[in-house]
Amino acid sequence: MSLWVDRYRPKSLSQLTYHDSITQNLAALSKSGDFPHLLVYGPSGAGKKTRIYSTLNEIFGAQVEKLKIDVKTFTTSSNRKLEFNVLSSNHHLEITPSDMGNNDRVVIQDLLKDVASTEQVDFQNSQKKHRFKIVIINEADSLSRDAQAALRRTMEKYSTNIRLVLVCNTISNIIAPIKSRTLLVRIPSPSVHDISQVLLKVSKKEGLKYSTNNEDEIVRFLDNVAQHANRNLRRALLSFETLAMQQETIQTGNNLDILNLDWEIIIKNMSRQIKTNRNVATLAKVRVIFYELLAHCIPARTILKTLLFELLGLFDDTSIIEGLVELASVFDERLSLGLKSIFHLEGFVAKAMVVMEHGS
Amino acid sequence: MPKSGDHATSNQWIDQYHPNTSRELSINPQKLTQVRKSLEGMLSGTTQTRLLILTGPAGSSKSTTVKVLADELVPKYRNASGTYGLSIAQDENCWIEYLDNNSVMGTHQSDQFEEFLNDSKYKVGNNLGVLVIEDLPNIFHEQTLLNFRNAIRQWLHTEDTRLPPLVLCLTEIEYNGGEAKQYSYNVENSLSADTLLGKALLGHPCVENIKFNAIANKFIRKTISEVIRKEREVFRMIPQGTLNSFLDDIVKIGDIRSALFNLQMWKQELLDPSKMLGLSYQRENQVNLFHAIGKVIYSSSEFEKLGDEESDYYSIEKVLSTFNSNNFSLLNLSILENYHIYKDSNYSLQVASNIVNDLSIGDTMSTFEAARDIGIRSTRNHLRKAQPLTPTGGSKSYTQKQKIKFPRQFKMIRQYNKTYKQVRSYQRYIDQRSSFDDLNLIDGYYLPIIYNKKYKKRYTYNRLGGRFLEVYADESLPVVEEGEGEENVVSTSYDLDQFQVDIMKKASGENDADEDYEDGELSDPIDESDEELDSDDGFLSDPELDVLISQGRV
Repeated sequence: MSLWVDRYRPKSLSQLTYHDSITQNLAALSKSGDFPHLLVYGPSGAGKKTRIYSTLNEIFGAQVEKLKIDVKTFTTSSNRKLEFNVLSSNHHLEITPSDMGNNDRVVIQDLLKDVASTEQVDFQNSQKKHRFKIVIINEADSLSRDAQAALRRTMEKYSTNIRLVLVCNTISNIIAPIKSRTLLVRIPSPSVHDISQVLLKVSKKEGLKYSTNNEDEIVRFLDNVAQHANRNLRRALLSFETLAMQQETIQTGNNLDILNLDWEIIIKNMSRQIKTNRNVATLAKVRVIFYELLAHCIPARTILKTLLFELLGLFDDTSIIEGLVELASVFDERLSLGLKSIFHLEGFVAKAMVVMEHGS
Repeated sequence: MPKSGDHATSNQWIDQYHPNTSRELSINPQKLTQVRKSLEGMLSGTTQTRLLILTGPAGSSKSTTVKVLADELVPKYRNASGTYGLSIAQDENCWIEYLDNNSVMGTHQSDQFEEFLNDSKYKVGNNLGVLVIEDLPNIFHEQTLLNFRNAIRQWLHTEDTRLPPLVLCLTEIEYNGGEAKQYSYNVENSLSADTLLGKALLGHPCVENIKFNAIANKFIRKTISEVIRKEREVFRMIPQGTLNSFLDDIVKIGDIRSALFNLQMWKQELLDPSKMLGLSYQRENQVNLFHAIGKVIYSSSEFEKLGDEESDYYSIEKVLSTFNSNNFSLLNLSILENYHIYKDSNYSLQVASNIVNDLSIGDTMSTFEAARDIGIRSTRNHLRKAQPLTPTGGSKSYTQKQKIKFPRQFKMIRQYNKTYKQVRSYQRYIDQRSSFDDLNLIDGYYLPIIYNKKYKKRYTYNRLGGRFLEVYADESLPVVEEGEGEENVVSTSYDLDQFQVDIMKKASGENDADEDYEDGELSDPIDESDEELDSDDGFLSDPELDVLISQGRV
């Protein structure tokens, strides 16, 4: 599937365009031939996975891009069959613990033991002596506590054969022992300028036509696209391709409404409704929308955050803004503590309406 | 097989005074006529009804009515249809009851019911009998439940024109299915005609459903006075007033069985002067979910005479003590779903926010038993203080315009699972390197726009994970129908779109495809699928696709 996101994904460290200092560090790391366990974190669409794969490419060569997917089954103690996917090349494998549900501890331990017990024999690159295999763990922040606790021992025990690369958005859910046993690599979001440079490059390679020849105007337009994508490169590339698909020549003057994500629009409309109709009947209407979003696997926390920012945009009064932010943090905590997010989402809206009415 | 005559051996009044004729039945005469008509129609074959379902609370004379009526009616129809050998047939029972038997060897338990129905088909003509199902197979086992439904469906569709009448007596109950089953609300939590048979079967033209209510005071009283008349030696010494007030008490529930048990126990106590008088063994009337919600939101009229605060206190106590305490999380959800209907939402935000806030706090502490009722108590407390914002005419203008609804949580979870499954399988087969949230939140929206412009495929690409659907609450209990919960990637409730075709294609070609991501453009099988799709008959003959096409979903 040749989306631009995939087609123009950098394959090696030299192709990476922004965060040069991080790139240099990674290059140094891969030259040394050995490296510690890594914990790569940063917001989504910043290029974490791209950098990891580029580094692997540097170390092992292009073979790491030859991926195959295996479905492994694991039988739990309660005799339930559990299926999860393992993406692997000759030199690494990649797993996503949220596939495994509550059994992530046992599954990961089992898997790592399995990998570690088969030593890498590499004839081609024997001079480099890469005797280890890389295990990439995606969404590491969703690992359960006990899985993380089990992981720290495993990391030490098999460190001759395995290097772990943990990938996550924030490290607040990662326990301290793991943070201390890994090299933390933060990949921040690219700046608007970084993104528009990438978009410009892509548009040149694709030979896109614009409604104007003025370079500055094009860059301003691309900046706008980058801004719209919340500095998420993945989203920026996808939305750029969406725009390019609409017309032969890209109208730089066009508004970018088509780039607003459907669920974001739903939340935006909801926030307006909350502001204008502050009464109990609206709470019932808002509940329909919350359920709609939840039913589409939009994480409750994302809903709360997006809603808060939409609401903040509608008010100037600092006391209301303070009140809203405080409420959001209270209900954000309750989302973690509680079981059913609908209570807390609606609770936030109800309380927020009261704050809007009286100030905090 | 027990016949009415056998009851005499027991000295329980419930058996001694078991009705032998339909006139003695403790039931509303109109209901009796209704059942009689249906049964006669089935016996004579003049109606198309093949399954009669009697539903109602416990002790509302459902099975007794059928059995007594069968004893009265069946012989008539035997004579009418039989041309010879009348005397032999007379010995046959007029009704046969299905008994679920765990110990039968050789037959798989879940097939027993089907076998019973097959064996009973000959019960026509001179052997005519009414088949009564009171005892159910183990319907909490999903496969057994499905087999049960299947057997009934086959029965309804049998070619034979003459079948014995089949009557299902069902006591509708609610109970707790244990914590593990909380994700859905079905036969595990509530046994009713809907959850047992599913909506499709229940709506079948050959199925008739007669609903019994708890027996009205008038009819229970009549039956009980008859018993008292027969036992008058015992009751003579009891003052009329004491007797009457006790009777008032026991007929209230409308359960003839329980009333008779109580009466007999009471009599025995009276005969033994050392015992206290008037101790009641009444069964507690269990409140169902909708009643409980009503009591929390509107308070109970039962305690109206007391002050507001006290009345609320007792209403809530009653709910807490009689509602199944394992289902409190469901009750909390239901309150959230319904608190706004009080006074047609015409009350202050402050009150509403306090209620939701307490429900939210309650949810964070749901592991503590003591905290389960926070939301419930708080709701009643705050609603009591709720004053209408805008005065609307007289105080009686709130006519409960909005009905109490069942919480949508389970509906949402079902929808969630569908979306989850679709996005996951997209991730599994098409785009392994992206995270679930990225695919759902970002790619899911852009990809269809891009692809639909870029490629001309057989189907259009829809939003990944399905469209956004508003989730509304229902007024009745949701029912699990066949087909749900099946482990299919393609669920019939989706509109088939190109994403799924791509996924299925990839999934079927998984084994031989040597994926090469280095040069995604050339080797990616998806890109070549345009021409292949039309020529590839093997793929199109996929049964699931055929079903979809035949249903006009494509």
